[in-house]
Amino acid sequence: MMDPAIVVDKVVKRYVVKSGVFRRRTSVVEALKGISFTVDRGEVHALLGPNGAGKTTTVKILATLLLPDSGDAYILGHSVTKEADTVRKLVGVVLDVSRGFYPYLTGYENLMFYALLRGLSRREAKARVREVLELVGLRDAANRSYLSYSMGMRARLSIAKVLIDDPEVLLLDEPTLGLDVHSARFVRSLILDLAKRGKTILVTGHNMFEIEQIASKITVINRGQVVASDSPQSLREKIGLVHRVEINVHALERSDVEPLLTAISSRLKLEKSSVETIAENQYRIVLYVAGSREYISSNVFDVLRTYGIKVLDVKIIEPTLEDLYLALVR
Amino acid sequence: MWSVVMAVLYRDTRVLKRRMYAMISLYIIPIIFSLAIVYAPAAVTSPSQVLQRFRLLTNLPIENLSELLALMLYFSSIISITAIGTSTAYWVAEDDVHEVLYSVLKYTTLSRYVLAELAVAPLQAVISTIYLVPATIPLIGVVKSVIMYLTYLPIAVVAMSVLMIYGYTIGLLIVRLLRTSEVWIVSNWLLPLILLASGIYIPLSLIPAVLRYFAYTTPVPYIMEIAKLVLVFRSLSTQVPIVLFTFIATIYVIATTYLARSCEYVLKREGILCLRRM
Ligand SMILES: Nc1ncnc2c1ncn2[C@@H]1O[C@H](COP(=O)(O)OP(=O)(O)OP(=O)(O)O)[C@@H](O)[C@H]1O
Ligand SMILES: [Mg+2]
Repeated sequence: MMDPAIVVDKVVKRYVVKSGVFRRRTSVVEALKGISFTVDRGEVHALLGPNGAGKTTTVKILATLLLPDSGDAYILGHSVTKEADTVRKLVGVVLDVSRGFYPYLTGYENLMFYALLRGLSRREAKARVREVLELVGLRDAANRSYLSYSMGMRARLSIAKVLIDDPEVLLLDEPTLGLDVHSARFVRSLILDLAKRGKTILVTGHNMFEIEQIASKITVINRGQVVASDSPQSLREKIGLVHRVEINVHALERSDVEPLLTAISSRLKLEKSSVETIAENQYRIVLYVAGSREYISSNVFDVLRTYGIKVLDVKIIEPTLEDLYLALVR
Repeated sequence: MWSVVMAVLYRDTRVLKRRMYAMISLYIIPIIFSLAIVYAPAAVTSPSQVLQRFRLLTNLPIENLSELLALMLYFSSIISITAIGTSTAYWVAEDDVHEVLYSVLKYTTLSRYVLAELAVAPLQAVISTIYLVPATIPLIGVVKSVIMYLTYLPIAVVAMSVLMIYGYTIGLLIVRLLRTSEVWIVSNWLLPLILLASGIYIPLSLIPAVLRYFAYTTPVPYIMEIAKLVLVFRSLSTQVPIVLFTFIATIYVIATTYLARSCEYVLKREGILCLRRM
């Protein structure tokens, strides 16, 4: 078993805010209250939480841009506090997609600056910059000034900047903020692509639909504390959110369906159930059940087999990530 | 460190190319001022009187007014160098630190990044003084103009570098102490005060003591002194200004490095460097 790519170990961060030039007042914001979680290699891991939960703070600490007050974090086994130089070579971070560039230089020139800063020779830098611009689909806009870029283009350029280094671990703080459907989809597929190539990606965001499509694991933090950290599937099971089960059957009469419902409810604990007529001789049984998918499906199919009723369709609808998220940060 | 220098050079040449017009107007203004200063005594009295006085005062074999004017043009170019060099104080507050610092810190430290900025000093020095060649050709001819410029260029480059470092020190100091990005509030006072007490306009002995002591903490009086030795007396007959200048320069390099480290630490500790607008 390989080490995890990212380990966050009891990280505490307090921001001390000073105000007033002459009469200094200080107030303390406890941004992270000892959070711990791990991210496996090659995984797309989503860090979720409401505004002000501490996501950006976590990302900055992992990128060595912010010092934790206590606790430590490790990137591929290297401490972000004690081996910051090594860690910086391993991670790529996108913090605010609309910052980090010189407005009057072109996209190409901006990336050249970073490629040279990274230590590539001019020739290598040129080749690498062309490559990443191609990868994020900005080739045609490469020679326009950054100022003239749309939000979507800026986001793409930010990701291109990170890719110059070809880092093992990518930290993306809200990479699709303010993007249209098309650009957001592009960024998502890019993230999945990178994961396929073995990169580890920690991504934050607020769009659950989007996170659901890319993340294989999620960590939810709220007010600086980890509320949950697991795969969406096991979280659903743990939290015991209800599944909606729809069984479409062929029957002559509604009364033929009732015994089936009774049989199912004798084996599964139903939260709610109903029978609808969807067409002539077609009925839909709707059940709300708490429990895992396996538990539901094995019991439902067992019952259906013993009854000689003609089943047209069975659907087990998972609670959405959004339902899950809301249950967690309630 | 080398890669940081390369990156900074690349960026600055690109920016310079794009902002050429702005740069030219930035450089031209001090020149116009300095011309007025050069001709002021001759305008008030008469050209021959100025020349006479000058010979009397300096005991120098200056043959004609043209040669004297060429010399004065050179001295006044120190004004341009000072103006442009110390303007780096604003750099800390510019797009740079705000927009790209986080990205830059992935590859280097703030102190290295600041010191790497010195790589453009020679370029800056040439751009801000090259006008001296065409300006002095009508006065002393092509050959003498070129020779005089080449003699002066090393001084200009060193002066530019040290003034830039001085500017960064002041800029970082303001950011560190006041935690504001509006560095101009303080640094705008700098240039007039330095120039007033630099010995360019007014002899240092006539300047109020406070201002004079302030001037001696800046590199300008030493640069002025060295330029005088090289351009007028054609030799470094005394090493004192060079020693003092090197001393001052070293102090500012150390101060900049220290302040940059301190700023970087604050940023990593508190998450924000400039948290105030004034
Ligand atoms: N530099 C700072 N100084 C003081 N407080 C800060 C600083 N940065 C963040 N905070 C505070 O720390 C807490 C966590 O902020 P953080 O930016 O990590 O949240 P987030 O989860 O990224 O939120 P969002 O979803 O809005 O981006 C917030 O209460 C915020 O106000
Ligand atoms: Mg955030």
